Amino acid sequence: MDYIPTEFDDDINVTPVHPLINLGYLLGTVFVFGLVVFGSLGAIGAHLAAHMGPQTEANIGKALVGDFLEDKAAPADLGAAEDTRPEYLKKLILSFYATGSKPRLPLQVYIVEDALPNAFILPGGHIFVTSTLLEQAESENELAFVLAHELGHFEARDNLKGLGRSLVFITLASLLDFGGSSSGVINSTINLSSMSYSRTQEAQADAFALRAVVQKYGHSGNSLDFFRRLEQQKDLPVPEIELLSSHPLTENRIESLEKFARDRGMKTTGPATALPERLECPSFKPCPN
Amino acid sequence: MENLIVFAILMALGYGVGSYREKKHYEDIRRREKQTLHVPMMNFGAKQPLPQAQDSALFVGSVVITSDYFKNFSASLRNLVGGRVTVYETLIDRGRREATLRMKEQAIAWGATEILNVRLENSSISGQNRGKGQVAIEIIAYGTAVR
Ligand SMILES: [Zn+2]
Repeated sequence: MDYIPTEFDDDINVTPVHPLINLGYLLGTVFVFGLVVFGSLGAIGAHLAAHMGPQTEANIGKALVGDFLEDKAAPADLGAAEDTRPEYLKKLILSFYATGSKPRLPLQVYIVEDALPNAFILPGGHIFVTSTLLEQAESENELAFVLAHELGHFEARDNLKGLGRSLVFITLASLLDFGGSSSGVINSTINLSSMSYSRTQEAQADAFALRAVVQKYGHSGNSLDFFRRLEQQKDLPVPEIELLSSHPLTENRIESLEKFARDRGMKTTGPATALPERLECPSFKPCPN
Repeated sequence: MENLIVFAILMALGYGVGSYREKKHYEDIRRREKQTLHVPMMNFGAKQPLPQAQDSALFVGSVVITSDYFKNFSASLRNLVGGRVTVYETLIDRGRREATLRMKEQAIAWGATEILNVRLENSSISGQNRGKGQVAIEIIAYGTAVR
């Protein structure tokens, strides 16, 4: 047998594809797939937010609130057990409902220590009010407006919609019941106190609140005082305050609310309803210090 | 943003330098393959009678190759979707041919007329980087030269 030298075939073991084309194909595939996942998560999240049953919402709320309270304050500070103020606030909120109708979930009110006047609502009907808000409130009308605004978010399910895509994971976590560890999923997906709403959602919550106070007090007088005062304080860290975030603050807001009231023939002036004495102290008793 | 810039630099470096050196290496491989083509290599010999010869000796050629950032990134994307990792094919091809050439060139310098029982093996050198993508592969070619 004679040896006849032949050259190697160069390409037999190498696929003739340009590395950049290969990379482009891979990036494209991954990108398109990512987009599909992102889009469907968004769609599922929106669907969940709009159609979630009260039981699921309550479960999610429980998990979220548990985490939030652990971060924020020891349960004793919440005064859930001894403080009677949350009960008062809850009654105020429930008075916005017409007789015979009630919220889709039992509402819960918590008072948290915070240097900023703020209120926000978490999924599951958990309403948080900061101590500073109670200290600064000058009439029941303005406190009622703030609470009704949060209730507006609740009724419009904004607090669920605000979770967006993470709602899918949170719902899954609560359905599969990762036990106490659902907190891990939730903590890593969202920052609760900075949950933000769109401008439209805020405007609708405002309109809801205005209707509510007019129905309760017969007029919208004094209801916007809280915002009027905040307008004077320029140095507030606005984005951190739910009540003020995502607004072209606050002049526009007050104006558009006044216009809203005028357009519907609502009465815009009237007497202020007084707050209970010592709202800033637990159980309305004289403050310890 | 800073991460993105670093990433872009690494990708450009990997691709630019990587493909330039690959081109040069292939030119070199082809030239040397032509030069050494006159000596036949065979992989029989283990259980067959050897040709008549005066001397025989073992020759080993080995090369360690590693990937570049561009290839690693492409391969990690490929890991997501599956399929042929084409970016590594040239790498392995070059390594195999380089190791064979090193073995063959030594044997020719010794005066080989034929190289028998040629075998190729490889081992991966992952060291501390196991599982992190950065790997090096050693490719070893060995055979029995006769003269
Ligand atoms: Zn709001």
